Amino acid sequence: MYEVISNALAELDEDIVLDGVKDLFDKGVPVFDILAALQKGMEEVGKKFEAKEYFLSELIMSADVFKEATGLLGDAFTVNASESLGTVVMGTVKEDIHDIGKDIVVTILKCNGFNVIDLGVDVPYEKFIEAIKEHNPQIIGLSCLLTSAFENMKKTIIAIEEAGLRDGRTILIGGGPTDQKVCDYVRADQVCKNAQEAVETCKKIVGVK
Amino acid sequence: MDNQSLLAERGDRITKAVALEKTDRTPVVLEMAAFTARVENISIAEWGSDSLISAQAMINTFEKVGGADGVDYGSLFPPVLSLLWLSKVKLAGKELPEDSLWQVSESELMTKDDYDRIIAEGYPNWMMSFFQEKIGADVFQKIMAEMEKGAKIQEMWKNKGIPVMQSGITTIPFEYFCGARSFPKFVRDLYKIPDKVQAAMDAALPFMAPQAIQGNIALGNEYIWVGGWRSAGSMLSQPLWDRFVFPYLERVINETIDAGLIPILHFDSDWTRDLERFKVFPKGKCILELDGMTDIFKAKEILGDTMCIMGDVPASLFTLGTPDEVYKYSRKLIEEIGPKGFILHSGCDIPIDAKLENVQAMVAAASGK
Repeated sequence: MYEVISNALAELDEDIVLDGVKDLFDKGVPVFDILAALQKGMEEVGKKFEAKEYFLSELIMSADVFKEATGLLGDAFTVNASESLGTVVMGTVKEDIHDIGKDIVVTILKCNGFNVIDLGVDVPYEKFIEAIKEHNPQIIGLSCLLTSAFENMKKTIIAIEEAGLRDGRTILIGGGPTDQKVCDYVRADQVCKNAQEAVETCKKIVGVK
Repeated sequence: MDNQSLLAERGDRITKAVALEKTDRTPVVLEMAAFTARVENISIAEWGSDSLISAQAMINTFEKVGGADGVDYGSLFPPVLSLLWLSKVKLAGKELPEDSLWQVSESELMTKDDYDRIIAEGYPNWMMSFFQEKIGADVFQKIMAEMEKGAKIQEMWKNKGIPVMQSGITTIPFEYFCGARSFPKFVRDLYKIPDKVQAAMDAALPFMAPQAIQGNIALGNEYIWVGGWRSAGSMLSQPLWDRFVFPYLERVINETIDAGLIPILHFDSDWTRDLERFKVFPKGKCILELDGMTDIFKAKEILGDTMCIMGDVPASLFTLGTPDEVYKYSRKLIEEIGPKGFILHSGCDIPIDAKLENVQAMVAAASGK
């Protein structure tokens, strides 16, 4: 049955996934095992994305099916979700209100087993600092769509450094106009071109193959 | 040379590039908006308050840059973006500080029920009531009032000898619905209620191009933008793109060509996967304008014999690069994509905080000055 769920999620067949999850949950199968099957399905989706069989639309749909499926697990899912691959603090930087791309990355990371603290949009430097202190993430994700937000991206990173919070963490950036040149300018560690690349990069950072 | 001769010379250079003919040099066209407010030292709130102010700032900036051959558009009234995205636009001096760039606030303004309304009421009726209810009747009135200034703005540019390529944009139902529903919600609709979405798209399609075509012709423009941003191949799987994007684009593009205009396919994001499909359009009748995400060199390889390519100096190079870097990339484009069928251009618009000397370096790469 685990394989059926994984395969159905990989094929975006919502009905089979939901029936399968409900069946296992009703039989008392540990939530951890059900989650593992769902995450294996998400991995397959990621592979199809890399093979250019799937695109952003399928990443969104797979996340949607995942969310529906975990919704069936109720509180049991919340308890198990604390055993995450790692913590990511993420937000769109100050003076930029664009959230679509950032929200997609947040969702896809969550479906792949990360604990993501989403700070929203137009996030002041201090809010990043507070969240890093509170959640101690391995990874910090900064997003922007406006070229005029590059400065605030840079200042956010400087603020993190000045607060003595950069060491031992990786800072990733993403969003429409970001590229290696922007990454160098704002002194981030890496730029991610799309949501799946963000997942693969985060997995690599926390040592998951 | 007087301004009318200059207008003719510049216009002819662009026309020849579009027709894939030999030109005396590579034409270079500027697409610029908020950047001109910075160059002219005007706040974004003031710049965006009146099309005549933005037009004058653009003309002054064009002259400061020097040596270019035309502009994509001759003015911009930022609230007009709400008509294109069917979304609210946050503006400088209102929801944003006085000197901040406007931002489209994409949210779920359109519900699933609106597909039924579009089918039942017809797209124009639905659009009018949707816009007034969800975005604001006052916004609509302001946009209409600004449009009245179109002829005067055309004259301002003509008198300076500068071709304005177009003044009105068209696109496909996908873009409007996607903007109004928000991308993630719209993708779910494509999967869960595809027939209904398609029926609404079919109902809307006949109303996409005619108004923009008429507007451009009335103002004496030879070109028209056909926009695509969320409908790029990188956003959608092949079956979705084949069903919800290309048939609609094909119809809109053909309508603009049939009306005697040259469509500028203003394509943001990555369209590389589907470039081959655009070979169906007649030779020398379209411009493919790329923003740096699509592989422009691949575009040349696939479509170089079909359509003129325009692009794609990246935004980050304009803001963070040096004149030397901009010049080198621009020369690479001219040498590898030109000399025929190429117009040098920024990737999408020149960003607000581009350095003037970087824009001049792009032009110098084409003009040799």
